[in-house]
Amino acid sequence: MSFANLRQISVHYDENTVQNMLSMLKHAPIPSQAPIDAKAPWSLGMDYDYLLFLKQKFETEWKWERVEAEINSFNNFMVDYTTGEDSLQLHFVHQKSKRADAIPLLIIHGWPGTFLDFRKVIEPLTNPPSSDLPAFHVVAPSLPGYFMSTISRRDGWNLTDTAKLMNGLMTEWLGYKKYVGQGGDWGAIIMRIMSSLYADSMAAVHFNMFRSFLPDDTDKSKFSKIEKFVLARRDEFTSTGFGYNVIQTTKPFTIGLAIASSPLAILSYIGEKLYCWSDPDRVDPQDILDTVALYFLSGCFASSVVIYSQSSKQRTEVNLPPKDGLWPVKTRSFGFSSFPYEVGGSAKAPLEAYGNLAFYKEHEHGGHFPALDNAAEFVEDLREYFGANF
Amino acid sequence: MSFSNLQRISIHYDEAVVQNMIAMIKHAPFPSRAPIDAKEPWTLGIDYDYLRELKHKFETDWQWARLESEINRFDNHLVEYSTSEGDQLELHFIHQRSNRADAIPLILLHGWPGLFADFRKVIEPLVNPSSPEVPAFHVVVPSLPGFFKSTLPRREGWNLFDIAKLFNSLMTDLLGYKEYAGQGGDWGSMIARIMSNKYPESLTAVHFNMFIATPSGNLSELSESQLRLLQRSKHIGETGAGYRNIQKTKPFTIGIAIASSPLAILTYIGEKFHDWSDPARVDPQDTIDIAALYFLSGSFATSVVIYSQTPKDAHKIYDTIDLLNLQVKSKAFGFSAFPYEISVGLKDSIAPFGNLTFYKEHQGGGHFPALDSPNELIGDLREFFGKKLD
Repeated sequence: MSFANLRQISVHYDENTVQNMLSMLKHAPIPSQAPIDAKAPWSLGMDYDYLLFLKQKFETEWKWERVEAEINSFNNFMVDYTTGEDSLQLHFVHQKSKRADAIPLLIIHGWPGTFLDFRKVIEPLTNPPSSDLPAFHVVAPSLPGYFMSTISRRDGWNLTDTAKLMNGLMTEWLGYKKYVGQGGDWGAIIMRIMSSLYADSMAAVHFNMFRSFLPDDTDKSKFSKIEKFVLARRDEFTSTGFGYNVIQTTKPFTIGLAIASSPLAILSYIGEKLYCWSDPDRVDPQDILDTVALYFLSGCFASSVVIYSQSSKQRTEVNLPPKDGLWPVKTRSFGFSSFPYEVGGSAKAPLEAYGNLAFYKEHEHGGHFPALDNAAEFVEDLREYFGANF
Repeated sequence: MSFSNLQRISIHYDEAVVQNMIAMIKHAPFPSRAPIDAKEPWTLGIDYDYLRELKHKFETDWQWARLESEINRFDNHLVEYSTSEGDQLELHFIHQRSNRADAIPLILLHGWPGLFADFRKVIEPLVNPSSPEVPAFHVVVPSLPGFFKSTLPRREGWNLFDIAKLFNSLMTDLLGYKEYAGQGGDWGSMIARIMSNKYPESLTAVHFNMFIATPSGNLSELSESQLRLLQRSKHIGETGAGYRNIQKTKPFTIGIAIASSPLAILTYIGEKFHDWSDPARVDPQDTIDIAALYFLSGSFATSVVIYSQTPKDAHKIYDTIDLLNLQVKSKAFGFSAFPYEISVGLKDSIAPFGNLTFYKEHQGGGHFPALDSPNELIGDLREFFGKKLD
């Protein structure tokens, strides 16, 4: 495995490119009303009125310059990565703290997120308002196939390969012999693998998604309000929110190339997830538009769904009962933050079978992208957990 | 059900509209190579090279004028109708009358992602056979509600039983065919099955190229060809059912997304046309024609609603009526087994459902036999219906 050719970059898209996207959006066919009148909003997928609202906002208010400036307020890098059969280019943000005691933190997004999911938390984490609070050196990569990170051509690159890449990035390239990890969505699954394989480097790991195994006959009556809510969300996700997963796992090229062909298609397809997986009282439409723009402008949508076809086995493995022991959490401890609108959440007790659960906190607000819809409490949790467990 | 305002229509789209569609295809984002190098073609969804060729053909060879004149060779109609639930809808259908006095009225039912135009190669031979020895037919080909120019009610709950009632009324009330024959595949096969159960005194002979029946009996004693049908069905179920899940649970999301881009439609349905057809026989021009009709008619988003309007189990129509147990009560029941059909109809498994007097296996052909094996389908319909309605 080797890293080479590190370069700091600025992210930039031409005005023409951005205007072309908005023009495609404006001229895309969209029906004049919802296909039919859904009995309840969102019950048949993307809410038509909300889609119109997003589209309108995108066409009239939204500005790429703001997003570009925000991205470039961080230190963005590209590095070439080569190993045996694979070569790719990795994009990552590396924001160092001025504090000598800062904790190196690897924080990984999922789908349909991006590295920019962490835009609201990078600064508070690297620069806390008080010297009593932990500080962090934050490393926020784009997963292979997302944004500017390219993907291995090999049909067979899986999460173990990604985990190896990420651990190598931290320990070999950036020189962080000990670091902590945080993940949601694919990031959480990768953290399961890393916390199993690289516990000698990874001192602590935090999750906001953890689909712990729950036997069917579990007595849920004693669960807290948030635990019940979270488990109901999980069930709903499995029964009515899983279609994207099946099609992306089995036909990634079809859905990838189709949706990538139109900004309105991306807006509808991932907009539905960005909204429905978030706290409806907290979700910011601007975050949705920014994410959609990154997917379209970088042309990464088709490669972003490949992970489903390459890694479904490991995804299933991490969800097995802990006694089947495929990916135990071997770090000295782990932490979990329970945000109510998460779709792959957990009650507290089932987590304890996976490793040493040193931190568990329930929240009243926030969803699957807590760094976006409940940034303040997300930051607090990381400070509290990592501060005590690094 | 009451019909009014029956009109003969011509199908026409302006040159500007057609050119706009072609321009959208030309300018749609399309990568220079597949997202990754699939180990085998078609294992990760649509084959990139195949799609690139389809796209190229669409942009350069394909002419709307040819398709328009082909469709307008037939007698297209639009009729308004209202239901007892108060729906006010429009139905498009072809009604092609034979000159023969002994012609058999025959309704042909398409499915998804097909259209009425699936039958354009078989209508003329069926209506006008070259010999008086061979049965002739008055052919009726409706567009299912939500497809092409047939509208959908605004309300949720419209389902296959409603469509069956509509089509029976179309034949007996509007067109005056007190007894008629029917043929269906895909959704059309389920509608025909309901019609044969509810209206057997009208639909006196029914033919299927798809018939959902749980394989039963001694599966180890199956002939090689029957076994291949079973294996094919299993393979499709395991690798090709994602579209059904997402269309059932999030029809608005996927419908509006795909409808926004002709390249998205071409990709999404192009994969199905190839995967579900005989690869040695599937004609790319047929695929492009159907994609164009979906886009020009703006009906893609409504075409997928049907998946969401059957309850949680795709085969159950109401909780108390299981489609899998619906008997074929028509006097005569026939089935043509094409090897690339996606849903297996084993002879011993479907025979218990009615008076199966015709079961023919073919060496080639798939889920859209009227497109990829028109001569075989015509031969079967002549043989089966000609015998039965003497």
